[in-house]
Order: sequence, then structure tokens, then C-alpha cells
Amino acid sequence: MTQLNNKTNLLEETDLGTLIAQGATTDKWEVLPYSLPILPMHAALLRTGKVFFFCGSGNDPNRLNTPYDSVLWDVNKGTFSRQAAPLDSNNQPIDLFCAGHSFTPNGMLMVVGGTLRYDPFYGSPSVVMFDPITEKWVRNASMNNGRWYPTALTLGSGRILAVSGLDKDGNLNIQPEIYSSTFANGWNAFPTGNLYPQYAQLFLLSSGNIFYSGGHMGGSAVTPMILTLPGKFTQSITEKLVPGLQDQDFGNQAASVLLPPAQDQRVMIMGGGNYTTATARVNIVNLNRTNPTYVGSRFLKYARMHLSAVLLPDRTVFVCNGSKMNENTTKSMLPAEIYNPATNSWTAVAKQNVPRVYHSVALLLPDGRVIAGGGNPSRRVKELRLEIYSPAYMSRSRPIIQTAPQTLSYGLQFTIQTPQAGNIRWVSLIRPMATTHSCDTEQRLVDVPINSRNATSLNVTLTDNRNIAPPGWYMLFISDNNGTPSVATWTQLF
Amino acid sequence: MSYKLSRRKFGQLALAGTLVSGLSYQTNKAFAQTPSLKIIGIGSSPIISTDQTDSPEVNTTELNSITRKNVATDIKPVGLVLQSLITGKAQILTNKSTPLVESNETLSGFTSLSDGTLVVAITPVSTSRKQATPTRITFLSTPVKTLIVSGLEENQQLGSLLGTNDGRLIGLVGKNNGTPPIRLVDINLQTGEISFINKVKFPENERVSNLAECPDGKLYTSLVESDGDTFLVQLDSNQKKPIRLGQLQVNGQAWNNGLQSLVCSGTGQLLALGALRYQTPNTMYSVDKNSGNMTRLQDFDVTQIALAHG
Repeated sequence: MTQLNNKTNLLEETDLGTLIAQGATTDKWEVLPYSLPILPMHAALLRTGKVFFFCGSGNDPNRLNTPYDSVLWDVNKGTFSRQAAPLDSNNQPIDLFCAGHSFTPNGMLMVVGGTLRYDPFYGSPSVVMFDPITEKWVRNASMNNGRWYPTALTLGSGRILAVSGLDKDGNLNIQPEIYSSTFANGWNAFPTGNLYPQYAQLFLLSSGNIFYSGGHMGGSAVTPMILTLPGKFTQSITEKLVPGLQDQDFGNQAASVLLPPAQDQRVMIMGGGNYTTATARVNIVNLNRTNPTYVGSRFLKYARMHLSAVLLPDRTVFVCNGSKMNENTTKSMLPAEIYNPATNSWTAVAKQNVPRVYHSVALLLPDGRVIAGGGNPSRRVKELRLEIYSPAYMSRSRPIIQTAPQTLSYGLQFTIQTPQAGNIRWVSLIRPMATTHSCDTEQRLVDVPINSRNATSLNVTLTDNRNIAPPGWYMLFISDNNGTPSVATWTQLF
Repeated sequence: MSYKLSRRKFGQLALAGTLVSGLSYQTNKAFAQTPSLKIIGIGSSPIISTDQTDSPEVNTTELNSITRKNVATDIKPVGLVLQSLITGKAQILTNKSTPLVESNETLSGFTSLSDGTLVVAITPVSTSRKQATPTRITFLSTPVKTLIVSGLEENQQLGSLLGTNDGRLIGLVGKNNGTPPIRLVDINLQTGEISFINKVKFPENERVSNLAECPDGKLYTSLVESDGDTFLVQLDSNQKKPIRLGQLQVNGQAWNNGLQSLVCSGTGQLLALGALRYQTPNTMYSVDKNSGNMTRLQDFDVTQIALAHG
């Protein structure tokens, strides 16, 4: 089933540049002819180009001790392979429902926490890794306490910070901890005292500090803040509040992104709800400033919570999924929207065919399309249809990367071969998404400045700041002067 | 120092011990003046890092993502935190010779016996860390006494505890992680051995947790349906099947997240500890036995509660 965009929507767009860029072609949503075997609550794009989905017990207390398989989707072949749930040291299956995750520098997906118990929820201390090459789970050292609804954030060294979530006794875990393979027990915890909300939406800043945007899952609002890691684990993380966020009480299932390019250090929060209704609020903060403050921006065209925000390689932000009110699917059939940071404007684009609310996801594919899946309006209702969004650029003539390095290091000057070299505007590295509950700490678009060019090649230099581009696997895109991106090639930065 | 806590004794204990900053709550004055509500909360104490060598972050790339020992062995023991609802004062309890609780264990039950002794049930969390210690009950008396719980079948766990009016210790046993079927058990206070009580039988597929007994001898528990809707249930040994009294609600909204704890005060008032789904921290509620309506009292950020006698 394919639904073409209603072009009258485009006429609402007042930005001429966007109108010109999109006017010649159309975008579209397409529901795939097959469905997922599991509810895709957790989704990650692996460096093999395959998409990894898992849901643990899948919001079903009857599956707590018999969680669902995870699923690896080969996008090109349209096939799924399944992996049994990882086992703990007693050979009992680990329930990864509502864990947190981020990538390690070698491209493994680290999954922290999960579910020990339902109603009330207790968090698991388990840690497992999914290896994209062997396509198997690997157990790793457990955290010092449980986490249900935690946030995992990859730091500039590739170490991983875990914060918040409900602990093994059902209380909010107020001891952040960091994983390193060099630590005797894998994880070291900071002292108590940091009351970060569940699924706190965190971003690694160029300074090495961490920004909490105000977006989260459930609970009460917590003022956005910049976190500074201390020099020792015996010291506490320090906090500096960031004022100015409008509708702060609507942070529940909002979405936040580090606007492209990452060097600009601007974070945008959009949408979210307060348990009864959703907001269209969009605020942006420039974290390069000495005393950053959120300022209002153009609102979403449609108020929504449970939304997904995806960075596109044309340096825009794509928003889909969500509902005007909680998990109400009758209020969720909303057109997708695209934000252009260059013009500070939103454009309503094609309307998705499948309503998606709580437990829905969306992520960027290496070819520039976006996959959307999931939706779980109640424990008994599971949306298994997959739907692909093809931005307008998919139907245009696209630049081609002929060769590019497969590995990169910080500050490296390197060459990209392309027959369109004379017409290339941007070179971008995009870190693949690993998302759940509208929360994604991974995606970021890093500008790779062009030093020089000839007819067939570009000479570019990568940032030397590991906090702007944390080590790991990235998609390398080039985009032409119309913003039309290439298909990505994969490269590892370390 | 005794851990048999009356309200007065608890105050003395807390004053004599270390007050844990940041854990204390502002006392609700109206609530504090209610003499029958002598509630004590319990939770695990924080993990104390004494590591002076590791830096949280470094300026190099760490490519190896698997720890050298993928089964860590050095589990730091943590203590227990007792906290008074009325005064808000908290104290960390530790035992140098035997860890009261380790970081891979949960506090699955907490109650006070008829003589005032506090008892906590400690259950291992199955993780990749070292093989967990067995399920046990610890009496917070002088000296601290611990009994290994025996009689549990494979994949069974001990959950809620209740010190009954007639001096027994009973509990709920379920499969892993509180899943049904749930059975009511007697726990031998001398040996820790459990014996199943067959007078009351819970439905095979229903999640039941928490036990409370009122001064009139009536037993109460909570039952959670698959969608999280929670019901107050009375147990009557004359009727083998539990009696549903009402669906728990707060401000007209169905309670959707089970309960952490349930106790009955000396005046017969049912009190629940819990939080709506996605909300923190836990909060104390009074519960209307007839309607299931819950009235918010105050936040209480603990894991389990018990009634102090005396």
C-alpha cells in the first residue's frame, strides 16, 4: 500500500528553498507486504546495515520468564533471523523489556538493564551485548544495581554511562555508573544524589559534558541541565541548570535531537505530553554559549507525544509517529513533518498509513529512507506492520560515493572519490540510531568540512574532538548542492 | 542496640546512629500526629565507591568492549536503610561479619513480628555476577540473626512476609520474579523451613503479592491482573477462594501498578505503599477496604514498609 503526498500540503510551506527542493518530486510512505514477528520496542541500525529489533517480554507479564526472540531484519532481502533471549549465569532468560542501549566503538550494541518484575516494575542489573557480525548475544558484567527505563550514553572514549531507571527493588536508581572493560568489575558507580528521570534524553557535548534536554518517560518534569563528570568515582556528578524550556511539564515522551551538524551544539526538544494532552512546543538551546538558555522555535504543525525524530542526511529533522493524546490511536494519524534548521521551518509531508503510539520507533536506513514500526496502545494490542518513508530526495538523481576509507581517526585528512565532486555541498557522518521510547542518545550528524576538490574527488578533514564524534561506526554521506544525499558507506572511527 | 523498634526506640536509634543526608523527608505534621501510624520503611543502602584509581573518562578510544572477567566476582555488600515515616529520620544498618544484603539481591518482604522484631526477606537476583547467596530471612535483632529459607522448589522465590497477630511468620511464594502460581506459606521462625498453607488457594494464573493482617484477624492481599489493574483481596480460611473487595483507585483513576507493600495499623486502617506506573517515588496511601479507593498521604521513598509495634 502506497500513499502519495497530497501536494496541497506542500503549498502550506512558506520557505522557498524547501519548496524548490521538494517541488520536483514527491515523498511517500509504503507499508511493507510482510510484518515483524515481534513488537519492535527497541530498534537499532547495525553496522552491517541490518536492523535489530527486540522487546524482551513485550509488555506482557505472562512472558516475563519466557521473553520473545530478538529479530534481525535484512532490509534488502526482506527476511528476518531470530535469536533466542540471552541467558544469565543460571541459564535463565534475561528480559530486556525497557532496557537502555548504545553502541560501543566496535559496533556492538550494549543493552543495559531490563525487567525483573512487572507491576510494580523492578529493574534488572543485567548487561548484554549484541554482536552484529556473529549475530549473537554476549553476556557482559552486570551493573551494580537494576535499571528499568534507563538511559545509556556512549562517551568520547567509548565508555558507556548508565543513568536512572527503576532499580532491583523498584525505586529510582540515583547512582549513575560507567562501564569500561578496564574496570575490575566492569562498572563503577558514582555517589547517590542525581535524580534524573526515566529514559532521560541525554547528549554528549563537545566539552565532554552531558546535556539532559528535559525529555523523558513518565514521572515528573526535571529541569534541563548540563552534567559534568568528576575526576573520581568517589565524587558526585555536578549539575548546571539550563533555563527557559517552555511547557516543561510536557517532557513525557517528547523527542530531542542534536541538530545537524553536531559542531553547532544546538539541541532541539519537540512535542511530549502531560498525561492528558500533547504539546506542539519546539525549543532550541545553543550549548556553545557560556550560559545556554532554551528559546522558543517554530512549533510542530501537529501536537504529539510518543513521537520519533530522525536526522536525515539532507540535514533536516524528520518527525513521525505519536498521538495528540496519550496512547489514543484515533488521534495518531498525523502527517509526518520535516524541520529545516537552516530556515527554522516545518513542512508537513506525507501521512503515514499506520497509527503508531507508545512503543513505536523510527530510524534512518543507510539509503536515506526511514523505517517506522511498532505501537502498543495497550498490553493486548501490538502493531507489527512495518512502514517505510521515502523522502522526496529518494526519487532524485543522487550523488555516488565511489571510494571512501573504511576506517577513520580523529583529525584525519582523507579523500572521497565521487563523479559529482564538483557539485557536492556537504560531507556528513551520521551515527546510526539505537532508539526506544522516543529516546535516542546515538544519532548525530557530524560535518566533515571539504578542504579542496577536483572533478572526481573531495579532500576533507575529520574533527579531532572525540566528543563531537564518539568512536564507533558511522554512515558516510555526501550531499549535492540541492541537499540530495548519496547512499551511505560505512566507516569506523576510532 | 536493639532493632526491635517501637516509635520511641526508633527515634533513639536514629539519633544514636548516622543520619543519612538526602534521604530524610519533611514530615507531614498532620500525619505525624496520628499516633497509630508507626510505619518504618526499609531499602538497600547506596553502593559506596572507594575506588580512588579509576577515572570516569579518558582521552583515548577503548575498543575492547567485553570486560576481562565477564562474570564479575567482587560484589560490594550494601547495607539496609531503615527510615521512619513519622520523623523522616533514616539509618544505615550494616553487619561487618556478614553482609546483610548484597547488590545482587532484592528485599522481597518486610514485616514486624508480634514481639516487635523486624524481619526482612532477601532474595537473589539471577545475574551474570557470582552465584548468588540463598534466599534468607534476617531478623534485625541483637545480634542480627539470619536463617536460610528451605523448602523452596526450583525457580521459586519468597516474596511478601507477614508477622501474624498470633506470633507466626507467613509469606507468599511464587515462581521467578513474582510470577504465579502464588502459594501461602508458613515459615518456621527457628529453622527457616517453609510449609505450604492449603487452606487458602490463589487462582493459578493470578499475580498476588503483599500480606497484611488487621487487629480483627482479617488477612488482606493485593491481586494484579495482566493489564496492571490491582484489586484488594481478603483471605478467609473459611472460604478457600480469596474474596475480591474492590479495585484499587486513586482520584477516580484505576491503580495500574500493583503495590510495593500493604500493612494494617493498630486501628484497622489499611495502608499501601506504591506508585502509579512510570511515577516515582513510592507514596503512602490509606485504602478503603470496601471501595478500594486510595487516599494519598505522603511520599515515602523506601522499598517495603512494616508497622512498628509498641
